This record gives sequence, C-alpha cells and structure tokens, in this order.
Amino acid sequence: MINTQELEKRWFKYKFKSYLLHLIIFVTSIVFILLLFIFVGTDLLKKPTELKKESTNIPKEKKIEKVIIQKTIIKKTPDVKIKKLVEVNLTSIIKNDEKQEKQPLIVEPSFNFISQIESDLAKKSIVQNRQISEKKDIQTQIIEVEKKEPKKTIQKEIQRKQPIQTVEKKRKPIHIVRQNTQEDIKAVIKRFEKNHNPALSLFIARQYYEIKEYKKAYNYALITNGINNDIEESWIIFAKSLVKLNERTIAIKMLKKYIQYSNSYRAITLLGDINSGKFR
Amino acid sequence: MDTELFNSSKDVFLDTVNAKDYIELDRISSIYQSLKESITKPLKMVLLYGKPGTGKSMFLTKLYDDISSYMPTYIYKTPIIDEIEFFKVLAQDMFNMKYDDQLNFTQFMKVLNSSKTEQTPIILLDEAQLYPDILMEKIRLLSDTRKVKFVITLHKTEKEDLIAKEHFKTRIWESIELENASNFELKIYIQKKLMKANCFDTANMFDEKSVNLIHKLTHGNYRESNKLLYTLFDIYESYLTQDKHYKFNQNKVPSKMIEMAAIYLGLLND
Repeated sequence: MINTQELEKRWFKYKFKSYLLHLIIFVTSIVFILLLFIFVGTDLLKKPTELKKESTNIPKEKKIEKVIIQKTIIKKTPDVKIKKLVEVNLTSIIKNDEKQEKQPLIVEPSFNFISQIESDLAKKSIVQNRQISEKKDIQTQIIEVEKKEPKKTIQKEIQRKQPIQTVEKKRKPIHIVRQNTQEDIKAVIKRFEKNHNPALSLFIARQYYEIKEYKKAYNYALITNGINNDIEESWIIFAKSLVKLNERTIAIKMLKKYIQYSNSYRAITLLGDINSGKFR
Repeated sequence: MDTELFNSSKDVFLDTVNAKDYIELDRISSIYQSLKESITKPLKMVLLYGKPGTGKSMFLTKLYDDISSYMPTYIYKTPIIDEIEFFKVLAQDMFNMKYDDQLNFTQFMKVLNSSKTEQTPIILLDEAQLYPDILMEKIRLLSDTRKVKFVITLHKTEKEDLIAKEHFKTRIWESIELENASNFELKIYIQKKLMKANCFDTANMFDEKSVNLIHKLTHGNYRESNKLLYTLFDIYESYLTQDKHYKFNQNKVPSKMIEMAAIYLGLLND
C-alpha cells in the first residue's frame, strides 16, 4: 500500500516547484521587456522630440521685410516739392546659425538685422510708424512724415499677396512705393551662403516667387528641400514654380510623391488646383 | 467504485508477457499480420527490433501462441548464452535428442543436415542482443542451411544496430520495427485492456486529457505506461483503504493522481 499522505506532500512540493518555475519565467520576461523598452524605447522616443524641436524652431523664423515708403510732400508754394524717401527695414528676428553645422535645423535670431534697422532708423527722422499686419508672415510699418503742407499723398506698395493700402491723413493721399527688393534678397543670399540655413533659402525662394522670378524660386526651393525635405512650404513653392515654368507634369509628379510621403493637406489642395486648372 | 475494482484494474497492468493480454490495435495488428505472413515464406531470418517496452516480447509470444499449433516453433525468451548449452537445448527441443555429453556447433550442424522434417522449424529468440558475437555468427550459419528459420528480437540501440548490420545484413529477409504508441493508440490500449478485464467503470475514467498526460510522461511506451497505470490504481486503492468514504471523481482521472503516480515512479521529480 502506498503512503498517500507522504505522496501528496511530494506532489504539493512538485506543484510549487513547477509554478515557481513558471513564475520565474514570467517575471524574467516582464523584466526583459521592460529593459528592452527602456533601452530601445527611449531611443525611439528621442528622435520624435528632436524632430519636434526642429519643427517648432522653423516657424519661429521670421522674414526680413523691407518696406520702402515714398512720401511726397507738397508745400503751399507750388514750386517747392519735397520728396523724401524713407526706407524702413522691418526685420524680424532671424535665427543664429552658428550652431547649425551640428544641428542643421536649429536656428537662432540674428542681431545683425536689428542693428541695421537701428542705423536706418537713426538716419530718418520725423517719421511716424504705422504697423500693418497681414496673417502671420507679413509685417509692415508705415511711418508718417510730419505734415507741414496742406496736401500730402502717400503711396504705399507692399510686396507679396498683401494688397496695396493707401492711408489718408488729413485728406492727403500717401503713396508707398516698394524698392530694393533684389538688394534685400542678395543680403539674405549672402547670409544663406555662410550658414546654409534652410529657413533662409526658403525665404529667398518665397521672395523670388513673389517677384515672379520663378526659376530662382524653383532653385532655392530645391536647395531648401535638399537641406530639409520636411518643410511643407518649400515643396509648395517648388511645385508652384514648376507650374509657372510650364513644367506642370513634373510639378504634379513631385507633389504626388510629397503627398505620399507627408500627406500634406496644402499639397493635396494645390495638386487639386493644378489638376483642375485653378492654378496656372 | 470500491477497493476491489481498483485492485482488479491494477492487476491488468502488471508487467507480464502473456499472449492472452495482447491488445489488438490497428497499426500493431497490421505489423503482426505481416510478421505472420513472412513466416510462411522461404526466409532465413526475421529481425524484430525496437526500443525497450515497445512490445517485442509480446509480439514474439503472441506469434508463438498463434503458430505453434500448426508449425514446429520453439521460443527462447531468456537468452542461452553458453554455446554448448544452446545447441544441446536446440537438439533436445527440435529432435528430442538428449545429450549427456557436450554438443558443439559442428555436431549440431550434422544433426540438423541429416534431419528430415516436413516443415522448417522456427526458432524464436528474444533479447538476441545478449547473445555473444561468436554464437550469433553460428546462428547466422545455421540459418544459411535453410533447415531452420530464426525470428529474433533486438533492442534498437546503436550497439544493437551494429550487431544487426554485421550478422544479419545479408540474411535478414524481413526486418520489422516496433514503435511506442501514439496518444490515440494509448487511449485504446488502456481502455481495451481494462474492458477485457471487465473494469468498465475505470476504463471510462480515461478521457483525452488524462491519456495525453500519461503519454507525455511515458512517451507512449507500453511498459512505462503499464507501470504508471499500475501505480495509479494502487494509489486509488490506498486512498480507499485508508478512508472508505474517500470521494473522488468517477468520470475522470485527475491530473493530480497521474502526477502522484509519476512522482512515485520517479518519472517526475518532486
């Protein structure tokens, strides 16, 4: 006869051991997974945050705008006309690109433009500022010259999509005329050549597109894409310039590829416009 | 269910080789049939091999039980290792010759060649791997005379494979391998064995799960399974002997009971 009590004890011992083994395997697997997550997961998480930093830095970059205000002052005496040209540089903060070689997309403000503005402003006196803002990227400041004469006409022209605005003061029209765009672009090009900041090349592309120099706009958009292919606006300018250069097929092809890559809403809209003939 | 039932069930799985205990399973039956057919053919030797506990001895016993009534058949379950003793026993069994003196191989060959029998006698040798190599060589020479047929069983190990290759390579007319039972075969085997002994209640206790566990522990080896089942019913019997009102599941064998039997036999380490 078998001693069942003793055998049961042995069986309990065996069961405990077998469960313990399973428990050890389970705990080990959990620990392994956690370690794997810590070591591998953090690496994966780091990349998106870096990208976020980059993407948040890009929009901070502001454009350099230069608005030239031409002001004609007509004195009471009809022979005497004072014509003043007031140049006002409205320069936003541009990123400092010294560290860019290591972190190509992190840009910081450039204070060169600020100093330039200050010097320009110092030269000009009796100017009243007026700000005209449109959307996010266009800022203009209109400065009024003191009015001694009864009739004043101010004409104002603003580059880009911004509509021409006429400001009348004391029933005298003011004409603002925009000048020296090319010179400003050249200054930015010089800066870009030094630091190869994609924000600058994008700005140049945008400026060229605005002044309808589509070939140059295309080139700078292409350069921007080469440096950073995640800038949506650059792709838009690139495609638009191609259309303007009568390369509609290539533009569609490139847009499709970009949409496939980024699923950009703007790109989809533009593609629709090109296909429908809305954008020519 | 009472102690007596478990006692009867336990006895079913006693490790004995008895032709009456032979259980017919589909695969085994077809192998056995081919063995029986090969006996009637003009063969020199039949080799029956397999791992220990796969039923070789049972096969040989069953064959002897079946054909001995109409064919001169002689079975030697225990190997006769001494050569002179081996030939003396053969001469005595086959030709009713009693030798007080020594009978060597040459003398036995002369007797064998001079014998006139209607049917070729069949000699069944179990555990042939235990025979000395020289004796095995002489058995081979005896089979070459075609005056006698040998059916031998061998354990399937590397060593025994070597023996088979060296001694019987050119002479074996047929070789049959026996294997462990599959899960399904084991279930049929257990149930048929119990039902044969009228232990229907205990036969119904073996469901697929319990048979699978037994198969996992014994790998379907008949001898190991018999031992495990014997111990299993012994445990049941012990429980009932200690407590007559001991309650247990009458519809299935719990894994606990099977594992306890396995621990008792050392198949599982506690």
